[in-house]
Amino acid sequence: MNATLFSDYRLAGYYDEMFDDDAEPRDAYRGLFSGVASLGSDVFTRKTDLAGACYLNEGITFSHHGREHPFPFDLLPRLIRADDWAWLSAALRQRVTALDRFCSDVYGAQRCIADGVVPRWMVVSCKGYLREMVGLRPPKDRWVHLAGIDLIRDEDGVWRVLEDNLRTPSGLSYVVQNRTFMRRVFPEAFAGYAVRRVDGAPIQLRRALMQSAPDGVADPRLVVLTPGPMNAAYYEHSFLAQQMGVPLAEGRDLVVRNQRVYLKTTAGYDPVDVIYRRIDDAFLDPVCLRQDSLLGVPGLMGVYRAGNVALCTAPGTGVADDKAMYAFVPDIIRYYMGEEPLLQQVPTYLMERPDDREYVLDNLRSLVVKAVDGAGGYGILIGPHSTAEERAEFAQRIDDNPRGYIAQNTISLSRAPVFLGGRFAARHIDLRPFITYGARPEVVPGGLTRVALKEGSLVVNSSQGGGSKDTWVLER
Amino acid sequence: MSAMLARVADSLYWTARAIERADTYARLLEVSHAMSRESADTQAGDRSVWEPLVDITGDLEAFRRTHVHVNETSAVWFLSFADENPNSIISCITRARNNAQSVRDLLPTEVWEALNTVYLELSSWPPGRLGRGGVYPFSRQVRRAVHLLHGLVDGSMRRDATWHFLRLGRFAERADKVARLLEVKYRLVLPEEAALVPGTEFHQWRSLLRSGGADEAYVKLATGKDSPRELVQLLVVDDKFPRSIVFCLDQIAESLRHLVWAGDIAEAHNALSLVAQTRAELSRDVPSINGSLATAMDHVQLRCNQIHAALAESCFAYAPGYEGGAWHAQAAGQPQN
Repeated sequence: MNATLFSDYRLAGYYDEMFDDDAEPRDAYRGLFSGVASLGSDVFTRKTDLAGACYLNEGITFSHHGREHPFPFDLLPRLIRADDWAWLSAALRQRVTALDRFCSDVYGAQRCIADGVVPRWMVVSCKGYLREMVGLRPPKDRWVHLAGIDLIRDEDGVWRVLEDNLRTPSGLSYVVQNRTFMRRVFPEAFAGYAVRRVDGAPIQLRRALMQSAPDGVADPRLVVLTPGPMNAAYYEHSFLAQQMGVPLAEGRDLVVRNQRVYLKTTAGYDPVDVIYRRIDDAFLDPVCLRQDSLLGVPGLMGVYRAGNVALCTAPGTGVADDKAMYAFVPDIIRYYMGEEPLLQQVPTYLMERPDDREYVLDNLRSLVVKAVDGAGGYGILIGPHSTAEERAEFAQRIDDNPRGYIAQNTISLSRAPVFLGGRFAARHIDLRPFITYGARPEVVPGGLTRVALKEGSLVVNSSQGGGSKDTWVLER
Repeated sequence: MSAMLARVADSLYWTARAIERADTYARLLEVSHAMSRESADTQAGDRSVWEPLVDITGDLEAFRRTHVHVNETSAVWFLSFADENPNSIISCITRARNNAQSVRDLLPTEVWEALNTVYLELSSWPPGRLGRGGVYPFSRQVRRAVHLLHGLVDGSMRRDATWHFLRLGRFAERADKVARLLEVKYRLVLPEEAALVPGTEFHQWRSLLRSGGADEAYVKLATGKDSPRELVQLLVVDDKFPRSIVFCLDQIAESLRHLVWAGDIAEAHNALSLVAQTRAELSRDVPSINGSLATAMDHVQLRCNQIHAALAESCFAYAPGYEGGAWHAQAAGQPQN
């Protein structure tokens, strides 16, 4: 590691994705390293600017505090070896299969409660638990149609699950578009690499959604249901609809008549069989759920109950990606799969257990505390980076609402080089792979590598100033 | 393939209308600016150039609410960058871009990119540049962007409902604005509806041709007599000239027939019979420059409104967005983990 672009690069004892402990590039990264090292800082700056322009022109922006920003993108890809990927894929399929079966069981026979795998209080106290789903069996008994599982690597390079996202995981469009722009602005990086393609991801999702249509529908009609352009992820909704070749509908474009859902078209009413929805459970149907919802379709849940439409992801799956339920997932996997979980987790403390709570309150400085229903990096306390005041505030919040919080050991996420200010600097990263689940679970061969751009930061969410990298799953 | 969402058809139609309107206004600004250069008397220029310009846009009343005098500075600003004018070029481009964003799943990526790019470029224009550099660079940039958009739309899109609704918007807007242009300019040149003395106001008529983008086509056709009669022929009834009213009506009719044929809209469509009726009226009584032109153009605008209303009633019928912030707040607040 002697090239000028890397002259300020320090490993500092963390696990580095690109370099080994002797600061030599790892095998997979060797070609990339020598290619990048031969480039000047000005060339890399120019390419970075070009990539930024691509995002802005495409309108790929993320709103943050009400303003639109281009999604920051780092040009040095993150590589995953073929053997690592084969193992990860199997582990992810195992996890998502178990979570899907868990949802089916929770709203059905509740064997897992009877057999003591998960306590009843744990289930019914989940914010994502939806009483309206009890006894309801979605088409094909499929609950989780698209999952985004957040993975990190610890100090030793061991993969661990950080959290599960089953309801409306976002980022699949970035996986596809990061690759598109990478090819456009940095084509020479691909020299000597055989990379798995990701542009089939929307079609893979469409296949899964079609396979989950109500029984007996020969040629299912699919729509994407969006809250509309005001939503931060609207770009993704329109991108997925376009790539899947299906209409992008708002709630007001749909209407229920005689136990069927229809689209209002220029020619009249068109029946709909599958809805990939990007609005929250509670807003789906003002008749059955939140009455003040302006985004949903009155009567939709009645059609769903009659089995005449598939809602993807099924309402109520929030019970399985709750941050406290996470602590039970290894047992859930053992119970439904009859095998040991392949992926490690991060040690987690439940605030409703007195011992756990006492330990956490005594050790806030070294732990991470999260709100169980928080998202986007909000409602998090990173103990080692916190002030005494913040710790006091979280201690109070935990006392007030123990079910609302969990604590985890602070994991030093692995780091990777990120081009900042004309040089490469090490930043913490994670990985969100996507799993589609129709007839069977399939992993998109790539993922969203998110980068914490702030020095030392462990929070990679785009709403917290995070960026992303293209993720290359190697063919061999 | 089944029919398109009513809301989406409406958005496409208005996207195209807003783009066409920006193009028209850019051209009008440029021509007016050129005309006023050669007028020695500033006040006369304000009356003969800038006031009619604002009048053509149909927003003179709105203009008077925020401005006292119609002069070069106020008119140029009002038509280019004024946020308070919903029909200024920047408002049109912004609306087109926002509309396109709501239907971007149907538009080719390049079309969206071109629209977003011109939006971003215009948004970053320093306001003082129009005064310093004249309107030409601005107008040229807008018109080039519009040409690029038309080229991309026509060159890359399948002739399906998406394309036809875009075409409907583009030509409905164009027919309406050509009629409006002719009406206002005619009243200006012949305030008493007296007979036109060829040559006296030729300067005005030529500028009208330029405003309608018909200058060069006219020169090729003209027999050398420079008769306004040929001008009306060209801008109203020439079915081979893409900026004539009849040409626009033919395009609208063709798209409507396609949509009916493909089952995208209901058969025996009101709009279709209205278009046929208007076209017949124009061909039967070619409006003469002496007397009937203004009335005829007024009538064409009325017909354009009726055609639009027929479309809105039959194919753009959907629940409107909810008023107020609650809807936006709910949409914005949907978690996307």
